[in-house]
Formats: sequence, C-alpha cells, structure tokens
Amino acid sequence: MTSEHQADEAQPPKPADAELVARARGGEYAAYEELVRRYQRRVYTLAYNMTGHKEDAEDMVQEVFVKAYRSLDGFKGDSSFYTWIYRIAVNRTINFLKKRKRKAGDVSLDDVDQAIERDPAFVELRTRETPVRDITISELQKKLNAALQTLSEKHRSVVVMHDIQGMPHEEIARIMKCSVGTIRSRLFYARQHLQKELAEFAP
Amino acid sequence: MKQKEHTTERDRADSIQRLMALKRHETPDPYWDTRMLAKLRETLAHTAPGMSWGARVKEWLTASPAPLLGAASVAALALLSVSLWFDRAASESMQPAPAVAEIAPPPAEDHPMVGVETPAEEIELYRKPVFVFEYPSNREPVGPLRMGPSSVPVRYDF
Repeated sequence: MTSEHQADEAQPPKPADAELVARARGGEYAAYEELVRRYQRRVYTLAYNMTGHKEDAEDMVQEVFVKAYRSLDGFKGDSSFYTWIYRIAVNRTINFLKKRKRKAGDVSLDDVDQAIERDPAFVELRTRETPVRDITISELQKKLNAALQTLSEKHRSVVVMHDIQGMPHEEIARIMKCSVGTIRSRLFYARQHLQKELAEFAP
Repeated sequence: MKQKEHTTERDRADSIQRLMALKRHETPDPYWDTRMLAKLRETLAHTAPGMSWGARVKEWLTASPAPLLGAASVAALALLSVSLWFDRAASESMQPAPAVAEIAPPPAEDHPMVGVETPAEEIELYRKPVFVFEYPSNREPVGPLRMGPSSVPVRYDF
C-alpha cells in the first residue's frame, strides 16, 4: 500500500450534499459554505460562458448562492442539490441576459491557462496546413467567445453545459426541465450554427 | 453515399465540440474562490436560511439607504395623492348642482343673440345699479311701483 493510499484512508469521508443541506437548514453556515465550495467553479463556468463577461459572471455566482441559501426550505430533495443549484443558475443567467443592456462586443475574458498548449484540439489546430495554425491563444479565445455569444440563450446554455462542462444530456434535461430529445435537438442546431461561425477552424 | 455524408456531419459536430471544449482552459484568478466565499459570507452574515418574505423585505430596506429612500418617497407621494383626491372630492360635494341650462347650453343657431356684440358703454352701464326716478316725493304715486331687475327706487325733493 502506498503512502498516498494511506493518506486517502486517513481522511474522513466527505459528507453527502443532502447531509450538508440538512445541516445548513439547521443554521450551520459552515455546511452551506462547503456546498458553495463544491459547486462555485461550475456555476461560475456556466455564468461566464453564458455572459462572456467575468465581472457579470462573478455577480451571478453571488446572486445564485444567495438565492439558494434563502430558498433552502424550498429544496425538497426531489433532485440533487447539484441539479437544483444549476437550475437556479441557468434561470438567473437567462433572465439577466434578457435585461442586460451591454453592447454585443463588450467582453471581459478570463486568462487562459498554459495547459491549453498541450490540449489535443489545440495541437491539431497548430499542425494544420491552414492560416489558423498561426492564430494566437488570445485570438482563438476571442473568436470562440464571439461565436458562442451569437447563439440564443437556450442554445448557448446547452452548448456550455454539454460541450464545455461535459454534462450528459439527461442531466441537462433535468436542469432545464425538458426532454432529452429537446436537448439533443438544441445541441444539433447550435453546433450547425457554430460550424458556420467557426468555419475556418472546423472545415 | 448517405453513410459518408452522415459521417462527415458527425465529424464536423465533433470538431465543434472539441473546439468549444478549449474554453475549459479559461479560468478565473487563483484567489477567486476565496474572494467569492468571503463576499458571500459577508452578504449572508445576517440572513437565516429560508428566510420569510417579511424578513427579506426588511433586510432589503435596511441593506442600503437607496431602497429605503425610494420606499419613503413612494409612500410620501402616495399619501399626498390620496389627500389631494379626498380634498377635491370634498370640495366637489359642497358645490350646488349646476342648472341644466349651464350644463348643456343650446346650440348657437337656436340663439339669435349669439355673436351680437354688446357696446362697451352698455356693459359699463349694467355694471352699476340703475336709478329709476319714478316720482317726486311730494307727489302721490300713480299706479303700482314698477321695478326692473336692476332698478333702485329713489325719492327726491324739489
């Protein structure tokens, strides 16, 4: 047995979401904070890719977790906490985007980590005998973001959850309260649209 | 042929999926998580989980002066509007009901006088009481005293 395994065994098992929700309802804020810690990055990624604006995304994350905390009594446990918090995040973000008066080109993007250089998709772009081989990471980031922002909110949310966050169709359908067929259809049309927008990268 | 087309379509979709997956490399700064948790803790410091609506409204009003000022302004405006409305309703109820003739004047063509100018001297004359000298005081009146709408009987001596 390696020392790594021994360390794993020494750690107490992480409490389930349901248990943390029950403790948070009882007034234990630390339990709620643990839930936030578990899902804040995922909620942020959703909001960030939906808005194309990191400051807006930060505000959305705050709003989502404040709203969830105040509505903990309304969480019946019919779905997982993860599905429930995601549903709040998707609905809040879509509502926010409908009200937002920002100009289409006004974006505020996060930094791209260096690991992208080793990503097979990026390596493939660089090895192609096309002008896109010379594209910088920053240019690629802007083009992907601009293409994503041309989709409708509902189509964009499906692309973000499936293609960027890697969620299965069934989970997205539960979050968006629609059928798996609807999700597949939205994904199909969204990708067709993106194909036109990003023709130079995906010929 | 159809199989080939289907495969090409699928390849394109996969290609888009791989491109979009590159966005996973966009991440917030390393201190973002801690900063977010601290900000949330501060926001929820005085909030109990699953708060009632009343408590939420109270918290919203006391969170910053802007909503409180707004609410106070709206309340003052509403109070002013209600008091003005009551005042107007009360003054209307105290006035006598207007005559039918005042409410609906006859059309112009039925009135031969409409449009006839009254001389300025005449208007001046009717503004003052008209003294009608009926008879001298040292004489007996002949017949009944005749009074017009704006006439005032005056006695005078010779």
